[in-house]
Amino acid sequence: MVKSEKLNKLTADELIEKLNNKEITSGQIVSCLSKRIKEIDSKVKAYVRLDFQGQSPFKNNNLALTGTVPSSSLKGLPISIKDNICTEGYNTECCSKILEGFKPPYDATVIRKLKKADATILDLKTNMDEFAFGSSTENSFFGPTHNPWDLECVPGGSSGGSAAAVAADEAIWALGSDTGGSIRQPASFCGVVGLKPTYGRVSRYGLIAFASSLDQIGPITKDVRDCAILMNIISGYDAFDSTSVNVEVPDYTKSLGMDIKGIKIAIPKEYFIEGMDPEVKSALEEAINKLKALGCECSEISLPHTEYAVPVYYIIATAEASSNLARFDGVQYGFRAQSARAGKAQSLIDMYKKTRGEGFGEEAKRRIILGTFALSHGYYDAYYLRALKVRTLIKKDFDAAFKEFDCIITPTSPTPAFKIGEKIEDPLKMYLSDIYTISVNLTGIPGISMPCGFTKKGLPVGMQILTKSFGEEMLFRVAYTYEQNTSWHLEKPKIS
Amino acid sequence: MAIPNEAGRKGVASGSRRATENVSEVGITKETVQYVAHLARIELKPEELEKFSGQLQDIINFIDKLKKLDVNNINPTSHILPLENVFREDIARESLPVDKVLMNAPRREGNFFSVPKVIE
Repeated sequence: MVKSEKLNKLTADELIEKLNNKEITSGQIVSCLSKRIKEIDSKVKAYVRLDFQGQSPFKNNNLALTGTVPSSSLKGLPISIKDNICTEGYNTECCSKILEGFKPPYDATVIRKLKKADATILDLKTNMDEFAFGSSTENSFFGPTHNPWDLECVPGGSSGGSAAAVAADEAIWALGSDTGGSIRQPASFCGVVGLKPTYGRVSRYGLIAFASSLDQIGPITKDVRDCAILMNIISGYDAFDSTSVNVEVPDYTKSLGMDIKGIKIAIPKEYFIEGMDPEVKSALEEAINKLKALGCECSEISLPHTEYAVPVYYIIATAEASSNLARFDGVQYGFRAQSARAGKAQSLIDMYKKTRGEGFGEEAKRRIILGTFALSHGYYDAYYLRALKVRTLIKKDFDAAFKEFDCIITPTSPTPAFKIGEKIEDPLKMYLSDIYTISVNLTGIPGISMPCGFTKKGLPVGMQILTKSFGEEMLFRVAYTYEQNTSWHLEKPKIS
Repeated sequence: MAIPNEAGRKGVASGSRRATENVSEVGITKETVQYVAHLARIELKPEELEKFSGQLQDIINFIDKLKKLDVNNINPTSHILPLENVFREDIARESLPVDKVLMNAPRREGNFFSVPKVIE
């Protein structure tokens, strides 16, 4: 019999085997997680709306949220969900005041698929930057999440709660969303695996939209195998998402364990720039040497439009966000400003303006205003249209690279996790921390981040592997082989 | 909520003429931020107005690096997939019940969302 108090430390794959062998029950896993969350989440703050009073932090103690399909594959294995993915009947607030108390009347497609696979959907949601606007999880209405490897540091963002929960064994695995690096960068800061799938691979139905041409839901897991298992469940065409692509979903676990001799890897020289942390640089160089030793052919390439990716992204993403967030107006759901409620001769426009002024946090307001500006008369051509054209140039760089190479390897972030408060007052500096991740969203290709070392202070460093659209199998193949020949993924943070 | 019509007619309050000529000269004044915030239906506190105009100016100056590139004869990419209209058969299917649709409304009256008076 397994010591049940350690179940939260195991991978999804290990737990599925034990569940299949009837060595353990899903209830035992849930109580291990519950115990762990009660023990450490007052320090990590990976979950939101947490109540430490009761026996269990979960609102629904029997968690009767699971599906019951006979051919079920997950046997009740629990999963943690980011606060912007709709779970029917359970608060989904994007960590924003403006969605206070919002209980979705339906499940996101990924949640429906997970229930069908007999997953237990934990009713506590993970912390995030408000509406996924941020790279540090500091923009949450509920306050920041702390990095399990150093509680004074940010976990990255915007899926910082999901990444920290997985790293701290407060979750078995989790879902995040990635618009400009929001899965990969926190995975890198927290020493776990995170995948941004190809645009159109995973349905966005029920993901509260930030930038619709960039958003994707993806897995955050303890290792590459779990990531492949979760992708098998959540991928696939969905008629409810008009940008979902009808391409057959392969069994991603079949890509694990293949050898990588002769794989052609490109290293973009523009990514190894000034301002890059020297410890990140040396960890990456070591990882590249390891891949060479495993038989990969690595060569330097140029992606000449790299320096334009951040400005292009912050025009397109904020323009789309300003339009998507117009729906939060105090009418259909969430928060309506009290002052607006009391006012007798209140106009509708005043109600909108007060509700949005009080309901959105600072970064949300900044981005909506920037996006509205970029789309406004007199500026549309100079900003928005120009950004869309440069997006074409960035895409051409990548298309050319993938004609010759199987994948591209880069650091996930130019630095390891930074201190809480370090960049929050300088939005431009914060935006630049996405420099290696955003081209992937602009071009729609998939990217995985995985641990490839630690700094002297013990902070994880992440390596990013990119490939052409719908080439996730290549990512799993390279990532798994690298992972199995290193031991970074086995390290655990010590939380005191 | 829609961006009001005057956006199309008036343009953004300050600097809109300069925009087409020389983008890098775009000045983000407090008045610009105030006007755009109005278009976006957001009421800003005076201190936010002050802070945002400085920060947005920094961001715009940074974004202006895009002006260095020649983008004549480049097609815009608004979407990464070759998008086509997605149609389905016109068959009635189940919708959410009214109570479920209204359950999150800050205010409702009967089967309606309730808002402040729109027409005098």
